[in-house]
Amino acid sequence: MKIALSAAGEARFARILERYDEGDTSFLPALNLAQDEFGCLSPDVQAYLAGRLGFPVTRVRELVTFYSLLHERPWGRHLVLFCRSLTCRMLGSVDFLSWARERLGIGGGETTPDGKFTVQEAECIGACERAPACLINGVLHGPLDREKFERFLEDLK
Amino acid sequence: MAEKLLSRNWGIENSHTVAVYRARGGYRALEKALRTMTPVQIVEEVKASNLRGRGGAGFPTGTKWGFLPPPGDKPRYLVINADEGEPATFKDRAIMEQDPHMLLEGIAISAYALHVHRAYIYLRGEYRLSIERVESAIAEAAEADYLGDDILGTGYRLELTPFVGAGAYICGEEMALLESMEGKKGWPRLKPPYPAQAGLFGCPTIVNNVETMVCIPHIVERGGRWFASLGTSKNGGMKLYAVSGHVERPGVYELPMGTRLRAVIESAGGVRGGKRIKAVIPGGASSQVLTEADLDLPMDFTSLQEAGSQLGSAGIVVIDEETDLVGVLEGLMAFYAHESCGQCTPCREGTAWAHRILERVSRGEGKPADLDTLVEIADNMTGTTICPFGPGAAAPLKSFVLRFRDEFQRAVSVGAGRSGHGK
Repeated sequence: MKIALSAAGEARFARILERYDEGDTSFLPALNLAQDEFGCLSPDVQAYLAGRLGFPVTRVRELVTFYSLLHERPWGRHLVLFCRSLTCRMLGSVDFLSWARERLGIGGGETTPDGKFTVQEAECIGACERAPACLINGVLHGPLDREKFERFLEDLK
Repeated sequence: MAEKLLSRNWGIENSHTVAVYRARGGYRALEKALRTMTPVQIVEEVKASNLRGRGGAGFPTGTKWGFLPPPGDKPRYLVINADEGEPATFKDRAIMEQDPHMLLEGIAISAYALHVHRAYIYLRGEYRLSIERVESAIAEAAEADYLGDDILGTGYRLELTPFVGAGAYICGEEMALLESMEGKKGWPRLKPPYPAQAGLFGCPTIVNNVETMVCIPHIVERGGRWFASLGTSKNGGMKLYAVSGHVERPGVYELPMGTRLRAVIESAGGVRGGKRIKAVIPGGASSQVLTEADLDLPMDFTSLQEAGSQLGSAGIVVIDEETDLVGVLEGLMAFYAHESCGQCTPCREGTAWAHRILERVSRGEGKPADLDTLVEIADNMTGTTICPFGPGAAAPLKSFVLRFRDEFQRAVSVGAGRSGHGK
Protein backbone atom coordinates (compact mmCIF):
# COMPACT_ATOMS: atom_id res chain seq x y z
CA MET A 1 0.00 0.00 0.00
CA LYS A 2 1.46 3.31 -1.01
CA ILE A 3 1.70 5.84 1.80
CA ALA A 4 0.69 9.37 0.81
CA LEU A 5 -0.58 12.39 2.71
CA SER A 6 -4.00 13.78 1.86
CA ALA A 7 -4.22 17.23 0.27
CA ALA A 8 -4.96 18.71 3.69
CA GLY A 9 -2.07 16.71 5.13
CA GLU A 10 0.29 18.10 2.51
CA ALA A 11 -0.82 21.62 3.38
CA ARG A 12 -0.18 20.96 7.06
CA PHE A 13 3.20 19.44 6.23
CA ALA A 14 4.17 22.52 4.23
CA ARG A 15 3.16 24.77 7.15
CA ILE A 16 5.24 22.66 9.51
CA LEU A 17 8.34 23.07 7.36
CA GLU A 18 7.65 26.80 7.21
CA ARG A 19 7.01 27.27 10.91
CA TYR A 20 9.78 24.95 12.12
CA ASP A 21 12.46 26.20 9.78
CA GLU A 22 15.45 25.97 12.09
CA GLY A 23 17.60 22.85 12.44
CA ASP A 24 15.54 19.68 12.69
CA THR A 25 12.77 21.25 14.77
CA SER A 26 10.29 20.10 12.11
CA PHE A 27 11.03 16.46 12.83
CA LEU A 28 8.81 15.79 15.85
CA PRO A 29 5.94 17.96 14.54
CA ALA A 30 6.09 15.99 11.26
CA LEU A 31 5.79 12.71 13.13
CA ASN A 32 2.82 14.03 15.06
CA LEU A 33 1.17 15.07 11.81
CA ALA A 34 1.78 11.67 10.23
CA GLN A 35 0.35 9.89 13.25
CA ASP A 36 -2.74 12.09 12.99
CA GLU A 37 -3.14 11.29 9.31
CA PHE A 38 -2.36 7.59 9.29
CA GLY A 39 -3.55 6.61 12.77
CA CYS A 40 -0.22 5.19 13.83
CA LEU A 41 3.45 5.30 12.87
CA SER A 42 3.66 1.83 11.34
CA PRO A 43 6.94 0.62 9.80
CA ASP A 44 5.62 1.69 6.37
CA VAL A 45 4.82 5.18 7.63
CA GLN A 46 8.19 5.36 9.35
CA ALA A 47 9.92 4.54 6.07
CA TYR A 48 7.80 7.13 4.26
CA LEU A 49 8.69 9.83 6.78
CA ALA A 50 12.36 8.96 6.64
CA GLY A 51 12.23 9.48 2.89
CA ARG A 52 10.29 12.77 3.10
CA LEU A 53 12.49 14.20 5.84
CA GLY A 54 15.76 12.89 4.43
CA PHE A 55 16.83 10.80 7.39
CA PRO A 56 17.70 7.17 8.01
CA VAL A 57 14.65 5.27 9.23
CA THR A 58 16.46 4.60 12.51
CA ARG A 59 16.09 8.29 13.36
CA VAL A 60 12.33 7.97 13.00
CA ARG A 61 12.30 4.74 14.99
CA GLU A 62 14.33 6.43 17.73
CA LEU A 63 11.50 8.88 18.29
CA VAL A 64 8.65 6.40 17.91
CA THR A 65 10.13 4.09 20.54
CA PHE A 66 11.09 6.90 22.94
CA TYR A 67 7.97 9.08 23.16
CA SER A 68 4.91 7.58 24.83
CA LEU A 69 2.37 9.46 22.69
CA LEU A 70 3.88 8.06 19.47
CA HIS A 71 2.88 4.51 18.63
CA GLU A 72 3.72 1.95 16.00
CA ARG A 73 0.58 -0.14 16.33
CA PRO A 74 -2.97 1.09 15.88
CA TRP A 75 -4.89 2.22 18.92
CA GLY A 76 -8.67 2.20 19.36
CA ARG A 77 -10.84 5.06 18.14
CA HIS A 78 -10.94 6.48 21.64
CA LEU A 79 -7.88 6.77 23.85
CA VAL A 80 -8.42 6.67 27.61
CA LEU A 81 -5.35 7.45 29.70
CA PHE A 82 -5.65 6.88 33.45
CA CYS A 83 -3.06 8.65 35.54
CA ARG A 84 -1.35 6.16 37.81
CA SER A 85 1.02 8.51 39.69
CA LEU A 86 1.25 9.80 43.25
CA THR A 87 -1.96 11.68 44.12
CA CYS A 88 -4.20 9.89 41.64
CA ARG A 89 -2.80 6.57 42.83
CA MET A 90 -3.38 7.57 46.48
CA LEU A 91 -6.99 8.40 45.61
CA GLY A 92 -7.66 5.06 43.93
CA SER A 93 -6.83 5.47 40.24
CA VAL A 94 -5.19 2.07 39.82
CA ASP A 95 -8.20 0.21 41.23
CA PHE A 96 -10.45 2.37 39.06
CA LEU A 97 -8.38 1.43 36.02
CA SER A 98 -8.77 -2.29 36.79
CA TRP A 99 -12.53 -1.82 37.04
CA ALA A 100 -12.62 0.17 33.80
CA ARG A 101 -10.69 -2.49 31.90
CA GLU A 102 -13.12 -5.15 33.11
CA ARG A 103 -16.12 -2.95 32.34
CA LEU A 104 -14.84 -2.38 28.78
CA GLY A 105 -14.01 -6.03 28.24
CA ILE A 106 -10.32 -5.47 27.73
CA GLY A 107 -8.36 -8.62 28.40
CA GLY A 108 -4.61 -8.71 28.73
CA GLY A 109 -3.95 -6.06 26.12
CA GLU A 110 -5.01 -2.45 25.85
CA THR A 111 -7.75 -2.31 23.23
CA THR A 112 -11.34 -3.57 23.20
CA PRO A 113 -12.03 -6.37 20.70
CA ASP A 114 -14.23 -4.03 18.62
CA GLY A 115 -11.39 -1.50 18.33
CA LYS A 116 -13.40 1.23 20.02
CA PHE A 117 -11.36 1.91 23.16
CA THR A 118 -7.72 1.79 24.06
CA VAL A 119 -7.09 2.08 27.79
CA GLN A 120 -3.65 2.82 29.14
CA GLU A 121 -1.92 3.88 32.29
CA ALA A 122 -0.20 7.23 32.05
CA GLU A 123 2.28 8.89 34.36
CA CYS A 124 1.27 12.14 36.08
CA ILE A 125 -0.93 14.13 33.71
CA GLY A 126 -0.73 17.28 35.83
CA ALA A 127 -4.32 17.18 37.07
CA CYS A 128 -3.71 16.25 40.71
CA GLU A 129 -6.39 18.64 41.96
CA ARG A 130 -8.91 16.48 40.10
CA ALA A 131 -7.57 13.13 41.23
CA PRO A 132 -8.30 10.42 40.29
CA ALA A 133 -8.10 11.83 36.79
CA CYS A 134 -7.99 10.59 33.23
CA LEU A 135 -7.68 11.93 29.69
CA ILE A 136 -10.32 10.78 27.21
CA ASN A 137 -9.16 11.73 23.73
CA GLY A 138 -7.02 14.44 25.27
CA VAL A 139 -9.83 15.95 27.33
CA LEU A 140 -9.34 15.97 31.09
CA HIS A 141 -11.91 14.29 33.34
CA GLY A 142 -11.86 14.07 37.11
CA PRO A 143 -12.44 13.40 39.94
CA LEU A 144 -13.68 10.16 38.42
CA ASP A 145 -16.39 7.93 39.74
CA ARG A 146 -18.04 4.98 38.06
CA GLU A 147 -21.26 6.82 37.28
CA LYS A 148 -19.48 9.73 35.59
CA PHE A 149 -17.24 7.35 33.68
CA GLU A 150 -20.28 5.43 32.37
CA ARG A 151 -21.75 8.72 31.11
CA PHE A 152 -18.56 9.60 29.25
CA LEU A 153 -18.56 6.21 27.59
CA GLU A 154 -22.15 6.66 26.46
CA ASP A 155 -21.24 9.97 24.79
CA LEU A 156 -18.54 8.36 22.67
CA LYS A 157 -19.40 6.76 19.35
CA MET B 1 -4.45 38.69 52.62
CA ALA B 2 -1.63 39.48 50.19
CA GLU B 3 -2.60 40.92 46.82
CA LYS B 4 -2.76 38.33 44.05
CA LEU B 5 -0.41 38.98 41.16
CA LEU B 6 0.22 35.81 39.19
CA SER B 7 -3.35 34.53 39.52
CA ARG B 8 -5.13 37.88 39.56
CA ASN B 9 -7.16 37.12 36.44
CA TRP B 10 -8.09 33.54 37.27
CA GLY B 11 -11.79 32.87 37.62
CA ILE B 12 -12.72 35.86 35.46
CA GLU B 13 -14.77 34.91 32.41
CA ASN B 14 -12.62 34.75 29.28
CA SER B 15 -9.52 35.57 31.27
CA HIS B 16 -7.52 33.77 28.58
CA THR B 17 -8.43 36.34 25.90
CA VAL B 18 -6.47 39.46 25.00
CA ALA B 19 -9.51 41.69 25.50
CA VAL B 20 -9.98 40.69 29.11
CA TYR B 21 -6.22 40.65 29.79
CA ARG B 22 -5.84 44.17 28.44
CA ALA B 23 -8.93 45.47 30.23
CA ARG B 24 -7.46 44.28 33.52
CA GLY B 25 -4.16 46.08 32.99
CA GLY B 26 -2.36 43.60 30.81
CA TYR B 27 0.49 44.50 28.45
CA ARG B 28 1.18 47.79 30.25
CA ALA B 29 4.42 46.31 31.54
CA LEU B 30 5.48 45.44 28.00
CA GLU B 31 4.80 49.05 26.96
CA LYS B 32 6.84 50.32 29.88
CA ALA B 33 9.69 47.91 29.15
CA LEU B 34 10.00 48.63 25.43
CA ARG B 35 9.40 52.38 25.60
CA THR B 36 11.19 53.42 28.78
CA MET B 37 13.71 50.76 29.81
CA THR B 38 16.89 49.33 28.38
CA PRO B 39 17.62 45.62 28.37
CA VAL B 40 20.30 46.16 31.03
CA GLN B 41 17.82 47.95 33.29
CA ILE B 42 15.35 45.10 33.02
CA VAL B 43 18.00 42.51 33.89
CA GLU B 44 18.97 44.63 36.91
CA GLU B 45 15.37 44.71 38.12
CA VAL B 46 15.10 40.94 37.78
CA LYS B 47 18.33 40.51 39.75
CA ALA B 48 17.03 42.82 42.47
CA SER B 49 13.74 40.92 42.61
CA ASN B 50 15.32 37.73 44.04
CA LEU B 51 13.18 35.81 41.56
CA ARG B 52 14.14 32.15 41.82
CA GLY B 53 13.43 29.85 38.87
CA ARG B 54 10.09 28.18 39.33
CA GLY B 55 10.67 24.99 37.34
CA GLY B 56 12.25 23.12 40.21
CA ALA B 57 15.89 24.16 40.60
CA GLY B 58 15.20 27.57 42.13
CA PHE B 59 18.23 29.11 40.48
CA PRO B 60 18.20 32.94 40.64
CA THR B 61 16.75 34.07 37.32
CA GLY B 62 18.69 37.34 37.12
CA THR B 63 21.95 35.45 37.62
CA LYS B 64 21.03 32.92 34.92
CA TRP B 65 20.21 35.76 32.52
CA GLY B 66 23.61 37.29 33.29
CA PHE B 67 25.35 34.17 31.94
CA LEU B 68 24.41 35.03 28.36
CA PRO B 69 27.35 36.42 26.40
CA PRO B 70 26.93 39.87 24.82
CA PRO B 71 25.02 39.78 21.53
CA GLY B 72 27.30 38.55 18.74
CA ASP B 73 27.18 36.57 15.52
CA LYS B 74 25.23 33.56 16.77
CA PRO B 75 21.46 33.71 17.11
CA ARG B 76 20.18 33.71 20.68
CA TYR B 77 17.13 31.87 21.97
CA LEU B 78 14.63 32.03 24.78
CA VAL B 79 12.95 28.68 25.35
CA ILE B 80 10.04 28.40 27.74
CA ASN B 81 9.73 25.09 29.52
CA ALA B 82 6.03 24.28 29.60
CA ASP B 83 6.64 20.54 29.85
CA GLU B 84 5.25 20.40 33.39
CA GLY B 85 5.61 16.73 34.32
CA GLU B 86 6.79 16.61 37.92
CA PRO B 87 4.13 14.56 39.76
CA ALA B 88 2.01 16.73 42.05
CA THR B 89 2.61 19.84 39.92
CA PHE B 90 -0.14 21.59 37.99
CA LYS B 91 0.50 25.32 38.46
CA ASP B 92 1.82 25.91 34.94
CA ARG B 93 -1.25 24.21 33.52
CA ALA B 94 -3.40 26.62 35.52
CA ILE B 95 -1.44 29.60 34.17
CA MET B 96 -1.62 28.46 30.54
CA GLU B 97 -5.32 27.61 30.69
CA GLN B 98 -6.42 30.71 32.59
CA ASP B 99 -3.97 33.49 31.72
CA PRO B 100 -1.76 32.66 28.74
CA HIS B 101 -1.35 36.36 27.95
CA MET B 102 0.46 37.02 31.21
CA LEU B 103 2.87 34.31 30.09
CA LEU B 104 3.26 35.89 26.65
CA GLU B 105 3.85 39.33 28.14
CA GLY B 106 6.57 37.89 30.37
CA ILE B 107 8.15 36.17 27.38
CA ALA B 108 8.11 39.33 25.25
CA ILE B 109 9.69 41.45 28.00
CA SER B 110 12.31 38.78 28.71
CA ALA B 111 13.19 38.41 25.04
CA TYR B 112 13.75 42.15 24.79
CA ALA B 113 15.92 42.10 27.93
CA LEU B 114 18.02 39.25 26.48
CA HIS B 115 18.32 40.57 22.90
CA VAL B 116 16.39 37.55 21.65
CA HIS B 117 14.31 37.61 18.48
CA ARG B 118 13.33 33.95 18.29
CA ALA B 119 11.62 32.16 21.17
CA TYR B 120 10.01 28.78 21.55
CA ILE B 121 7.60 27.38 24.09
CA TYR B 122 7.91 23.63 24.61
CA LEU B 123 4.46 22.41 25.57
CA ARG B 124 3.65 19.09 27.12
CA GLY B 125 1.76 16.93 24.59
CA GLU B 126 -0.82 15.84 27.17
CA TYR B 127 -1.80 19.46 27.96
CA ARG B 128 -4.32 19.81 25.14
CA LEU B 129 -6.29 22.76 26.53
CA SER B 130 -3.07 24.60 27.42
CA ILE B 131 -1.81 24.10 23.86
CA GLU B 132 -5.06 25.46 22.42
CA ARG B 133 -5.10 28.47 24.74
CA VAL B 134 -1.43 29.32 24.19
CA GLU B 135 -1.70 29.02 20.40
CA SER B 136 -4.82 31.16 20.41
CA ALA B 137 -3.15 33.73 22.65
CA ILE B 138 -0.11 33.87 20.35
CA ALA B 139 -2.40 34.59 17.40
CA GLU B 140 -4.21 37.32 19.34
CA ALA B 141 -0.94 38.83 20.54
CA ALA B 142 0.51 38.88 17.03
CA GLU B 143 -2.66 40.54 15.77
CA ALA B 144 -2.30 43.23 18.44
CA ASP B 145 1.44 43.75 17.76
CA TYR B 146 2.58 42.37 21.09
CA LEU B 147 4.55 39.86 19.01
CA GLY B 148 5.87 40.03 15.48
CA ASP B 149 8.12 42.21 13.37
CA ASP B 150 7.35 45.58 14.94
CA ILE B 151 6.13 45.18 18.50
CA LEU B 152 4.10 48.21 19.63
CA GLY B 153 5.66 50.16 16.78
CA THR B 154 9.02 50.17 18.57
CA GLY B 155 10.82 48.22 15.88
CA TYR B 156 11.54 45.34 18.26
CA ARG B 157 10.79 41.97 16.68
CA LEU B 158 10.10 38.63 18.27
CA GLU B 159 8.84 35.40 16.74
CA LEU B 160 7.37 32.98 19.29
CA THR B 161 6.79 29.41 18.12
CA PRO B 162 4.95 26.75 20.12
CA PHE B 163 6.57 23.31 20.06
CA VAL B 164 4.52 20.33 21.21
CA GLY B 165 6.16 17.40 23.01
CA ALA B 166 5.13 13.77 22.70
CA GLY B 167 5.05 12.30 26.18
CA ALA B 168 8.34 12.07 28.06
CA TYR B 169 8.90 13.36 31.61
CA ILE B 170 12.64 13.67 30.99
CA CYS B 171 11.98 16.32 28.34
CA GLY B 172 11.14 18.68 31.17
CA GLU B 173 14.87 18.65 31.98
CA GLU B 174 16.30 21.55 30.00
CA MET B 175 19.07 19.65 28.20
CA ALA B 176 16.71 16.86 27.19
CA LEU B 177 14.17 19.48 26.12
CA LEU B 178 16.69 21.01 23.73
CA GLU B 179 17.55 17.58 22.33
CA SER B 180 13.85 16.93 21.78
CA MET B 181 13.44 20.24 19.95
CA GLU B 182 16.36 19.26 17.73
CA GLY B 183 14.47 16.17 16.57
CA LYS B 184 16.06 13.58 18.83
CA LYS B 185 15.08 11.41 21.77
CA GLY B 186 15.32 13.25 25.09
CA TRP B 187 18.72 12.13 26.33
CA PRO B 188 20.05 15.00 28.45
CA ARG B 189 23.35 16.55 27.53
CA LEU B 190 26.04 16.96 30.17
CA LYS B 191 26.43 20.40 31.76
CA PRO B 192 28.75 22.30 31.34
CA PRO B 193 28.47 23.71 28.78
CA TYR B 194 25.31 25.38 30.03
CA PRO B 195 22.61 26.53 27.62
CA ALA B 196 23.73 30.16 28.00
CA GLN B 197 26.96 29.14 26.29
CA ALA B 198 25.72 26.34 24.04
CA GLY B 199 22.01 25.62 24.03
CA LEU B 200 19.58 25.25 21.15
CA PHE B 201 21.59 24.39 18.02
CA GLY B 202 24.69 25.12 20.13
CA CYS B 203 23.70 28.79 20.38
CA PRO B 204 23.32 30.97 23.51
CA THR B 205 19.98 30.02 25.05
CA ILE B 206 18.04 30.75 28.20
CA VAL B 207 15.48 28.17 29.32
CA ASN B 208 12.90 29.51 31.76
CA ASN B 209 9.80 28.03 33.40
CA VAL B 210 6.24 29.25 32.74
CA GLU B 211 5.69 30.56 36.27
CA THR B 212 9.04 32.34 36.21
CA MET B 213 7.85 34.19 33.10
CA VAL B 214 4.57 35.38 34.61
CA CYS B 215 6.53 37.06 37.41
CA ILE B 216 8.38 39.28 34.91
CA PRO B 217 5.60 41.79 34.03
CA HIS B 218 5.05 42.48 37.74
CA ILE B 219 8.76 43.02 38.35
CA VAL B 220 8.87 45.49 35.49
CA GLU B 221 5.69 47.24 36.51
CA ARG B 222 6.47 47.81 40.19
CA GLY B 223 10.19 47.17 40.47
CA GLY B 224 12.50 44.37 41.52
CA ARG B 225 12.93 45.56 45.11
CA TRP B 226 9.18 45.66 45.61
CA PHE B 227 8.86 42.11 44.26
CA ALA B 228 11.67 40.94 46.55
CA SER B 229 9.92 42.50 49.56
CA LEU B 230 6.86 40.31 49.10
CA GLY B 231 8.82 37.17 49.93
CA THR B 232 11.62 36.18 52.25
CA SER B 233 15.32 36.89 52.15
CA LYS B 234 16.76 35.67 48.82
CA ASN B 235 13.34 34.35 47.73
CA GLY B 236 11.25 37.11 46.20
CA GLY B 237 7.68 37.53 45.17
CA MET B 238 4.42 35.67 45.34
CA LYS B 239 4.42 31.90 44.74
CA LEU B 240 1.97 29.44 43.25
CA TYR B 241 1.59 26.37 45.46
CA ALA B 242 -0.21 23.36 43.93
CA VAL B 243 -1.80 21.41 46.79
CA SER B 244 -3.31 17.94 46.35
CA GLY B 245 -3.77 14.66 48.18
CA HIS B 246 -5.77 14.37 51.37
CA VAL B 247 -6.97 17.96 51.56
CA GLU B 248 -10.46 19.43 51.43
CA ARG B 249 -9.87 21.78 48.50
CA PRO B 250 -7.06 20.65 46.23
CA GLY B 251 -5.96 23.39 43.85
CA VAL B 252 -3.40 26.10 43.12
CA TYR B 253 -2.97 28.77 45.80
CA GLU B 254 -1.02 32.01 45.41
CA LEU B 255 0.70 33.08 48.62
CA PRO B 256 3.80 35.05 49.55
CA MET B 257 7.05 33.14 49.04
CA GLY B 258 8.01 31.61 52.36
CA THR B 259 4.50 31.09 53.71
CA ARG B 260 4.67 28.33 56.29
CA LEU B 261 3.64 24.85 55.11
CA ARG B 262 0.85 24.64 57.70
CA ALA B 263 -0.70 27.84 56.33
CA VAL B 264 -0.43 26.63 52.73
CA ILE B 265 -2.25 23.45 53.68
CA GLU B 266 -4.88 25.47 55.56
CA SER B 267 -5.48 27.53 52.40
CA ALA B 268 -6.45 24.26 50.72
CA GLY B 269 -8.96 23.57 53.47
CA GLY B 270 -6.68 21.51 55.68
CA VAL B 271 -6.43 17.76 55.84
CA ARG B 272 -9.72 16.13 54.86
CA GLY B 273 -11.93 13.97 56.97
CA GLY B 274 -10.48 15.17 60.22
CA LYS B 275 -7.49 12.87 59.85
CA ARG B 276 -3.95 13.53 61.00
CA ILE B 277 -1.15 14.30 58.60
CA LYS B 278 1.47 11.56 58.39
CA ALA B 279 3.66 12.92 55.63
CA VAL B 280 3.87 15.85 53.22
CA ILE B 281 5.70 15.92 49.92
CA PRO B 282 6.71 19.60 49.62
CA GLY B 283 8.17 20.16 46.17
CA GLY B 284 6.87 17.63 43.67
CA ALA B 285 7.77 13.95 43.70
CA SER B 286 11.52 14.64 43.46
CA SER B 287 11.80 16.23 46.87
CA GLN B 288 12.62 14.85 50.31
CA VAL B 289 9.42 13.96 52.17
CA LEU B 290 8.53 15.90 55.30
CA THR B 291 6.89 14.71 58.49
CA GLU B 292 4.24 16.22 60.77
CA ALA B 293 7.09 17.87 62.69
CA ASP B 294 8.00 20.01 59.67
CA LEU B 295 4.70 21.86 59.21
CA ASP B 296 6.12 25.18 60.42
CA LEU B 297 8.77 25.32 57.73
CA PRO B 298 8.68 28.40 55.50
CA MET B 299 7.98 27.24 51.96
CA ASP B 300 10.86 28.88 50.14
CA PHE B 301 13.94 27.47 48.45
CA THR B 302 16.42 28.51 51.16
CA SER B 303 14.47 27.29 54.19
CA LEU B 304 13.64 23.91 52.72
CA GLN B 305 17.19 23.33 51.57
CA GLU B 306 18.43 24.11 55.09
CA ALA B 307 15.91 21.58 56.41
CA GLY B 308 17.24 18.82 54.17
CA SER B 309 14.47 19.03 51.58
CA GLN B 310 13.68 21.28 48.62
CA LEU B 311 10.90 23.54 47.35
CA GLY B 312 11.35 22.11 43.84
CA SER B 313 8.18 22.63 41.80
CA ALA B 314 6.15 23.45 44.94
CA GLY B 315 3.83 20.53 44.25
CA ILE B 316 2.54 19.71 47.72
CA VAL B 317 0.97 16.33 48.49
CA VAL B 318 -0.67 15.88 51.88
CA ILE B 319 -0.65 12.25 53.02
CA ASP B 320 -2.86 11.19 55.94
CA GLU B 321 -2.25 8.78 58.78
CA GLU B 322 -4.13 5.89 57.13
CA THR B 323 -1.95 5.78 54.04
CA ASP B 324 0.44 2.94 53.33
CA LEU B 325 3.73 4.72 52.63
CA VAL B 326 5.33 1.61 51.17
CA GLY B 327 2.66 1.71 48.47
CA VAL B 328 3.26 5.42 47.89
CA LEU B 329 7.01 4.89 47.48
CA GLU B 330 6.47 1.86 45.26
CA GLY B 331 4.26 3.98 43.01
CA LEU B 332 6.90 6.72 42.92
CA MET B 333 9.65 4.31 41.96
CA ALA B 334 7.41 2.82 39.27
CA PHE B 335 7.24 6.35 37.86
CA TYR B 336 10.99 6.86 37.91
CA ALA B 337 11.75 3.41 36.52
CA HIS B 338 9.36 4.06 33.66
CA GLU B 339 10.55 7.58 32.91
CA SER B 340 14.30 6.99 33.22
CA CYS B 341 15.71 7.78 29.81
CA GLY B 342 18.23 4.95 30.20
CA GLN B 343 21.37 6.88 29.38
CA CYS B 344 23.15 6.48 32.74
CA THR B 345 23.64 3.10 34.35
CA PRO B 346 23.14 4.09 38.03
CA CYS B 347 19.73 5.63 37.24
CA ARG B 348 18.52 3.12 34.66
CA GLU B 349 19.43 0.13 36.78
CA GLY B 350 18.86 1.78 40.16
CA THR B 351 15.30 2.94 39.57
CA ALA B 352 14.25 -0.43 38.15
CA TRP B 353 15.95 -2.32 40.97
CA ALA B 354 14.45 -0.12 43.70
CA HIS B 355 11.02 -0.57 42.16
CA ARG B 356 11.37 -4.36 42.07
CA ILE B 357 12.39 -4.39 45.73
CA LEU B 358 9.45 -2.23 46.75
CA GLU B 359 7.04 -4.41 44.75
CA ARG B 360 8.37 -7.41 46.60
CA VAL B 361 8.05 -5.64 49.98
CA SER B 362 4.48 -4.62 49.09
CA ARG B 363 3.65 -8.26 48.45
CA GLY B 364 4.88 -9.12 51.95
CA GLU B 365 8.11 -10.71 50.71
CA GLY B 366 10.49 -8.12 52.11
CA LYS B 367 13.84 -8.88 53.71
CA PRO B 368 15.52 -6.84 56.48
CA ALA B 369 18.48 -6.05 54.22
CA ASP B 370 16.11 -4.42 51.70
CA LEU B 371 16.04 -1.06 53.49
CA ASP B 372 19.81 -0.67 53.48
CA THR B 373 19.85 -1.73 49.82
CA LEU B 374 17.28 0.94 48.93
CA VAL B 375 19.32 3.65 50.67
CA GLU B 376 22.47 2.44 48.94
CA ILE B 377 20.74 2.51 45.56
CA ALA B 378 19.68 6.09 46.26
CA ASP B 379 23.22 7.13 47.17
CA ASN B 380 24.56 5.45 44.04
CA MET B 381 22.25 7.53 41.84
CA THR B 382 23.41 10.82 43.37
CA GLY B 383 26.37 12.63 41.84
CA THR B 384 26.90 9.86 39.32
CA THR B 385 24.50 10.85 36.56
CA ILE B 386 24.43 13.24 33.63
CA CYS B 387 21.24 14.97 34.76
CA PRO B 388 19.28 15.67 37.98
CA PHE B 389 16.81 12.82 37.34
CA GLY B 390 19.05 10.45 39.32
CA PRO B 391 19.16 12.63 42.46
CA GLY B 392 15.48 13.42 41.88
CA ALA B 393 14.55 9.75 42.20
CA ALA B 394 16.98 9.32 45.09
CA ALA B 395 15.32 12.09 47.13
CA PRO B 396 12.02 10.35 47.88
CA LEU B 397 13.63 6.89 47.87
CA LYS B 398 16.05 7.71 50.65
CA SER B 399 13.90 10.12 52.64
CA PHE B 400 10.79 7.93 52.84
CA VAL B 401 12.83 4.95 54.06
CA LEU B 402 14.89 6.91 56.60
CA ARG B 403 12.21 9.28 57.92
CA PHE B 404 9.56 6.56 58.24
CA ARG B 405 11.96 3.84 59.26
CA ASP B 406 9.51 2.16 61.67
CA GLU B 407 6.83 1.73 59.03
CA PHE B 408 9.27 0.37 56.46
CA GLN B 409 10.88 -1.88 59.08
CA ARG B 410 7.49 -3.37 59.87
CA ALA B 411 6.78 -3.84 56.18
CA VAL B 412 9.92 -5.90 55.56
CA SER B 413 9.46 -7.94 58.72
CA VAL B 414 5.77 -8.72 58.53
CA GLY B 415 4.73 -11.39 56.05
CA ALA B 416 1.06 -10.47 55.52
CA GLY B 417 -0.12 -9.54 52.03
CA ARG B 418 -0.49 -5.82 51.35
CA SER B 419 -2.34 -4.14 48.53
CA GLY B 420 0.51 -1.73 47.94
CA HIS B 421 -1.85 1.13 47.20
CA GLY B 422 -2.74 3.91 49.57
CA LYS B 423 -6.34 4.61 50.53
